Amino acid sequence: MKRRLRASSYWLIGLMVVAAVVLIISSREERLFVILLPVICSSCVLVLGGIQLAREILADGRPEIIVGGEEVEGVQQDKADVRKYLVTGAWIVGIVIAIYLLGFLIAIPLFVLSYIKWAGKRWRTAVIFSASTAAIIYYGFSILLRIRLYEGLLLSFLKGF
Amino acid sequence: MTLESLAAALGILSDPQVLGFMVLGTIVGIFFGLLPAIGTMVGAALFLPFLWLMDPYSGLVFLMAMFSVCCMAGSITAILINVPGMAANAATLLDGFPMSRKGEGSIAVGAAVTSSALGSVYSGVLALLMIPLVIPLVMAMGSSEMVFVILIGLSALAVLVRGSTLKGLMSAFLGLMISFIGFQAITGARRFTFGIMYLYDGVGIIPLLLGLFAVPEIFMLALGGDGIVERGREVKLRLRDAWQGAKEVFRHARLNAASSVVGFFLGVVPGVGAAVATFFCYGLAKEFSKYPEKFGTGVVEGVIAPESANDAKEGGALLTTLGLGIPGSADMVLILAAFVMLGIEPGPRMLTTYLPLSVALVLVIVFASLLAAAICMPLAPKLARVTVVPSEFLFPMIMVLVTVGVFVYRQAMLDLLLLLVFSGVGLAMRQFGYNRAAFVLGFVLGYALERNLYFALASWGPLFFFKPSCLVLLVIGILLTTAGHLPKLFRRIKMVAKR
Repeated sequence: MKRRLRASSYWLIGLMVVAAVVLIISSREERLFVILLPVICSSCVLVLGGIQLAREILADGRPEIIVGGEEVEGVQQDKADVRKYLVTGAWIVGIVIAIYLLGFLIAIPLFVLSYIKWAGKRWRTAVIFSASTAAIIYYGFSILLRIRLYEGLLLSFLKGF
Repeated sequence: MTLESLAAALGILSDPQVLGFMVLGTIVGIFFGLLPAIGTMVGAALFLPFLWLMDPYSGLVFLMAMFSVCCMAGSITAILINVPGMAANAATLLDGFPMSRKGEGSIAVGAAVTSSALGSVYSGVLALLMIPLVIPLVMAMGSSEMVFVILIGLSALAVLVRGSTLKGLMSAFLGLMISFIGFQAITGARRFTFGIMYLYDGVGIIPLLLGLFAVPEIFMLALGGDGIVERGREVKLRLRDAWQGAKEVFRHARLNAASSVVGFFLGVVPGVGAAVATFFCYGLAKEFSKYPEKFGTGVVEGVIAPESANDAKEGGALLTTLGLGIPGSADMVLILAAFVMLGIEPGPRMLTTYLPLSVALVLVIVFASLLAAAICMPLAPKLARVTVVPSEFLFPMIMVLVTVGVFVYRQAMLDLLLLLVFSGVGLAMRQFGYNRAAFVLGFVLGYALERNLYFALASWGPLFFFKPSCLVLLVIGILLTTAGHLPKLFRRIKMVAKR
């Protein structure tokens, strides 16, 4: 039976790497007060992280069992769960990319419409919701509060012509 | 001095705009308090970006009203549909839902709402009485003492909130590390910017807050699928019975008063959350009851005690947050963030220069709770239906609010990228049991810690640690952080001694 690191341990290692980077960068600075707290904090993160990592590795009494090349951690890994995480994450990243490319006033109704439709609701519900959201955002921010919402790369590019 | 400040505070609150925002904050707080998967932290984080659009008084009053009423709203869902709106309402569930099953749900709701309202009144009175006692204490604190106060606040929140102590402390230190990005105010040095101009001003608080709190929660809600609670649960409320419940609170006036006082003083202790205060008071009520065996089967005392405590705690937590600049609870971290955003530094000046504002915020706890009681009492069953809003609608609505809010803050598109980064960090912290509130607190207090440390070192040199006041604070800090581990340690020593 092999001992493998859990996801939380990889996260911990990532945090310790960040702390190590802070420590290395701080070592190049000569002024003591500039680096005092960063060095203290990053050292504490490294020490605490090391203790926590050791705990996680040593205290894990149920090592992961490798069965036919697929890891089984006591309970069967649910691939559907991982897929759900990725899909939901993709929606969140997607709205940011859409805003960057198309601007708020196009990306937001598009996002609302596509998400609600993808979730299995009717077209009418999706259209009403997305139109209402777009109207609230436009009138609330652009008209009432006079905040210039980002137009998007596409519109800026077209305006350039 | 307090009477003049009281008059000035009432003057602030009588401004129609401020009053309007208090009412709005109450309504919004009720809405978010009813949503179990979202809660007030997320709600407050969502509205923080829009704070700069209001004047500082209106914005802070809005936020404070939100926080004051969320627990009252959460008790409605706890009682009527067995789902606590907030962690603090988990204790109310123990007797609230059994009462509902016995057909006494209306009585339970009436009792919960009235206890909460009276608890906030007690809290307001105690806070106002304690301000003159606290002022000399905070005035005596200099930079050296503030360094220790900040460290106590950080470690208390990291340690006393549930979860691993190590992870809590790591979270706090990580938050501090993030706060060092950008120009250091004292020396003007650029730190950890990697030549990126966007980072010269440091990490924006809004993308950080929304990424850490709002996005992970809505992410998990979207994963969960079809709404927060099962639909079709019928909820009935009779107003006459709700008034009966309100009368029960007056019949148990001593229990209500005692729970409120205990809740207030528990709220003063940094890091003690509402859940601790409510369960503690529930336990006390059971201990001193004539029929403790009935607790858990649906007795009104089991609703009165925790609900009195969870609203009373707000006044105590606010006092610590305003006077010392360290949050009395995880919720107060966001109030602290709001102060920093508005350029108001919590600490001794809040009880001197800004005393009328501090008194006004204490009064908001009282007025908002009374207003919420008036709304919640007759509308409880309709309000409970908010929890059946499907996640298919909540997810896109909140994501839109989050993205617009982040952009509106500094009108910088890179803030959206930062939002994604901290969303990933927040999700990982949530999944692996790291304390996000401690992280935010470290971030918010990083500047104050560095500045006070600089002045302490400049005035006293490294030996400032050995000042008597600092040593006392150091002992308090050690006791607070080790308090949870002492019973375990004593048990081990006993076992070893027995062997």
